[in-house]
Amino acid sequence: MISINDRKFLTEALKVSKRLDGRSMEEQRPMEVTFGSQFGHVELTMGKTKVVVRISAEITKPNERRPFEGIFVVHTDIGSMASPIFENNHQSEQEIMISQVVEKAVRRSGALDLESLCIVAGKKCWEIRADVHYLDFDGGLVDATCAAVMAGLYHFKKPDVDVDGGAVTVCDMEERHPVALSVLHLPVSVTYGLFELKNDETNEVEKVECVLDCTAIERQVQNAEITITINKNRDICQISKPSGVSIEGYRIVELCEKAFQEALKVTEMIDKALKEDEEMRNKGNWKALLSAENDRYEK
Amino acid sequence: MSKITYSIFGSSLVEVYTGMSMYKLLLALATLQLTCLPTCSLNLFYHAYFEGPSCPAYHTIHTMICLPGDQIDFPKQDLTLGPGFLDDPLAADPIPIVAGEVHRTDPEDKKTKNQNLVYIDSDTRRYIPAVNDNVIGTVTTRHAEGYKVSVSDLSPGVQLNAMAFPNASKKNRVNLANDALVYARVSSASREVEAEIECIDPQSGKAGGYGELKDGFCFDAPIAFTRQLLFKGHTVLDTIGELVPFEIAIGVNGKIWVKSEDVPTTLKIYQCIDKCREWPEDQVRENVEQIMSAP
Repeated sequence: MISINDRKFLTEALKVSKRLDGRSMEEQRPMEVTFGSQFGHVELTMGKTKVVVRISAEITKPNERRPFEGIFVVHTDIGSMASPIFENNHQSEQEIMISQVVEKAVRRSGALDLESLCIVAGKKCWEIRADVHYLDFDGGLVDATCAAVMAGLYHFKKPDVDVDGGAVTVCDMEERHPVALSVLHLPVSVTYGLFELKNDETNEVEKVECVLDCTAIERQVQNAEITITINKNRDICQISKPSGVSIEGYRIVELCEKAFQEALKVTEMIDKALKEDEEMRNKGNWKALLSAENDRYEK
Repeated sequence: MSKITYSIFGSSLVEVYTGMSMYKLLLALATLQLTCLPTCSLNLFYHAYFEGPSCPAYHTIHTMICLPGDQIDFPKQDLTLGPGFLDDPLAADPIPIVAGEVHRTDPEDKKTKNQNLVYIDSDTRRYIPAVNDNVIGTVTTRHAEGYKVSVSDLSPGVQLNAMAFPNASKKNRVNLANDALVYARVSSASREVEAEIECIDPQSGKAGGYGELKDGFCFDAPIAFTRQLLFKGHTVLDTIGELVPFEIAIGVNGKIWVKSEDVPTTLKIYQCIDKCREWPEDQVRENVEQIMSAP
């Protein structure tokens, strides 16, 4: 709920290209990723928005129609922990929209190679589950979730399995190196809020301003929102603009180009965080020491 | 339970019960940090805890931290209980129901009308209306007798009677739009009945600063911080005032409204007030000047 004063103030500020937190129109809040001690435990903060993702794996029976594929599910449960505007155990329209866009961005974009999750065709496969918990809400849930889930998928390692005929043995993590998931690409969601800026005298719409990464208060004023999911190979995975004010086609092309630049930054940030975590885990270079390619005896 | 007082850092002192467990000490410390006191360091706290009577400020009662259900051993008879205490007629001592700093006014002090008042200053997230609080609300619905106003998001609204304005009559009514902002005083608040607010100063019968707030920008701030701003003041407000003229309304429901000559200036004032909680006292002027002089 926003007062007329704040609504007017925010649009007036946008007219002179100012935002509440001092960012420019095309500036994303910096994302920060931290990994937990276990594989696939990611905490992502973006301004005040805070998301925790936990990736887990389980062996189940594959879908009958897709016997050669594993299963990947994303659970986004936005509760009142994030903000009192979200009710517990009840999905509002906004929450359904968020989970659908996230679903499209990370699951339907084919980021995870499902065939690599198959163990015994039609009988056993891995089910990868991403549980997303929202700890704090200040806009940008789709962008934060998408980045956090992808960082989680890259970070996660599932235990190795032995297949002997029909029998499947799950090897202990201590006994054999756990296996990383085969992630094919890294889709990044970038959300723009569209604001109709009206002329003071004639009250006609002068222009539609596209503002990157709106905060919770800006979201209440925006007239529409557009989410672009794109990866660093310039593959557009989705463009979602559910309702609201219209926007010309050429501007969407422009936005895609800008979104690509943002995607590069996010990809770089995730890569860097993964590398640092890997270095931290591989202290003393034990991986090279334990490699099977090494000579057995010292010369 | 006997109590010892330790100094933590320059100005603030903390009273520690000897029976307190370390867990409770840590909780008290967390409370201290939450109640928008200057941040205190854990090391100093431990230092004071183990140093004991050799601490310089031993035995001075200045600030006391309490947790809900704590035993407070001052007798209730000649005390006036303020916010944070449960007045249970059967209990001999006041029972704290929130975590925070205990304050006690001096009975000799004429300013507080010689009252022996105790209250707890705590950092709550949800605003509960109390009589005589100055609040900023948003009109949610209009009805025949007046308005329904929201003083804190997603909490039950309060009533603003159409007659609760200066010089209001059936013919001369104040017209407020939906989602308009009003600055008002809580005139009645009880647990069972919807709270009421009014836009009249009870002393003069005039507007006295209350009424609709036009234009400007209203933002949320921690409730304890708005109380501090309203009752004790803050150098940030004086410093901004020296640089630019501006209007401000502070609602103890955790809302602050500011207005100045143009939008960019208001925006800068908002940034100063929003960030000033993180600044040390001696850097406030420098930071305010830096923000206000930015293009």
